[in-house]
Amino acid sequence: MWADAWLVAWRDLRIELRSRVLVAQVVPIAALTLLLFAFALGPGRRPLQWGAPGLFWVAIALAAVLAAARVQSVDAAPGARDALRAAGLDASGEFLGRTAVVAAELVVLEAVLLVGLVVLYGSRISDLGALVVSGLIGAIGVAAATALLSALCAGIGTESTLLPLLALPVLAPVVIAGTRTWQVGLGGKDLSVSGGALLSSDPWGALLVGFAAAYLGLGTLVAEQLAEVR
Amino acid sequence: MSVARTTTPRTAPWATDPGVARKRAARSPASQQGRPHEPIRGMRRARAALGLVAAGLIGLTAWLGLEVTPPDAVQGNLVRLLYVHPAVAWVALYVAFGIAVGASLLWLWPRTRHERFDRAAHAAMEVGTVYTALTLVTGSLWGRPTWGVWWVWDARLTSTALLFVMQLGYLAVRRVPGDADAVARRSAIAALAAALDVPIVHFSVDWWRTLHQGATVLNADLSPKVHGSMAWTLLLSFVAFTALFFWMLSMRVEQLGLEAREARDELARRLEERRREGAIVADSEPPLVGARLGAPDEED
Repeated sequence: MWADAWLVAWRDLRIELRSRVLVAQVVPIAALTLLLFAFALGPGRRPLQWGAPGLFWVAIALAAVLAAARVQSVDAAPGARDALRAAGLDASGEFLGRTAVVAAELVVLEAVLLVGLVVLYGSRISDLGALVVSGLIGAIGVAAATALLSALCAGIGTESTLLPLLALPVLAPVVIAGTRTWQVGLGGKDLSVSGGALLSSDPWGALLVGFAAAYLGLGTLVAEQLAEVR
Repeated sequence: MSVARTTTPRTAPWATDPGVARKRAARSPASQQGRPHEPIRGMRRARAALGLVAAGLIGLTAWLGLEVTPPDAVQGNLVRLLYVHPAVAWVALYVAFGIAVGASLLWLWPRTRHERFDRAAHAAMEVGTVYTALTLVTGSLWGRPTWGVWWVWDARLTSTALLFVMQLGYLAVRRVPGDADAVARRSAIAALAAALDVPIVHFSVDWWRTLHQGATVLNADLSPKVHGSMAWTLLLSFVAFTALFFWMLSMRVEQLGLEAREARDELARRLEERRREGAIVADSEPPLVGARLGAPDEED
């Protein structure tokens, strides 16, 4: 399974590096999201800094849907999936490989967006460690969920509308938990009504870890079932 | 000498197998309308009884909630929504989702795979979606006079709204055209993916501590905050709306079964028509080229 995961991840990453879809399309779209939020919230820096963590994670969720759909479309050519199956590729390995690719893309995207937050919104980084760790775990969780749901929608004809409908509500816990942890990391105002006591015990980090574990587990378990319908 | 093509009519295997034919005859709509089998009649009677019980309990809850129980010291008559909102939320969040997830798991597990589990998951999610909508509507009706707004960005409300969207997503997956097996598989996985939101909805009032109140009966201290006739009416409302849910679920499961059977019968009928057409066309076709070549005397 792990060998197949590595195989798929390496292959898809090479495809992404050669096609440059991530750099040429997904990153600009995510950056554009930051600009649009800025237009919507007005020219003042204060509301932007206040809302930066939430805007960041909303941008990540939207970009993840695009990235997962893109990764899934690599094998959309007629006969490609049959060829993968005939080659004896483990379905769980394929799922983990695709998750790794989406997660890697999201991590790159997070780095770019973080620079965007600092430059465009004037956000101040107060705890880089919290940002890195929560960004990484959040990216894995988001990647696992979107990879699973994009596989579920693959080849049905309406995946461009069905995938966001399924994925965006599912990603809401990551948006909430990621926002809370990034509020600390960016030194922004804490939006949590319950105050610092909850943040000090870091339930949001636990929620991010739980989310990633749940969707990695679910995706690995049902990958074989999904492979049969694609 | 010409050799005519063999035109023996090809019939469906079930048309010649007496056992299969008997089973099909027993399943035919005419048989269902006429004199249904004993187990089906028994099931329908049980469902009718359940429907009557549910209606009676709902009526009793309404009477107790509107006439017998007193208004609340703080909320006044608004408290009467307490006999609807928590009960429908309980069914939407736990009963319907529990059945949908359980049935989806049973369908996905190869040893227990049966289409009745797929139908149960489908029906539970559909009826559950109605209950979730009712939860949001009754909560909003209560929120307007209490909080002054129809909607607040409360953790419980928001997570329930997300759950509602997930249920709509599940139903959208259900409507994807295609092979029934593939639709069932995709839907079962969509149900499992959505089910991970249920614990978040449940614990949201504890995690976020926003406007929505915590558990009234099954709280952490297990000390109910409602007493007397109000407590009994609240308990009755849970039983009534749960009974109503199971009645609706049973109706919908049967309806889905009938739809599936109708689709199968229609497919078989069309296949049979095509086969007959094929046989007629074969009859009217000229003999095979090879046969003509082998019969020069007739050509002359």
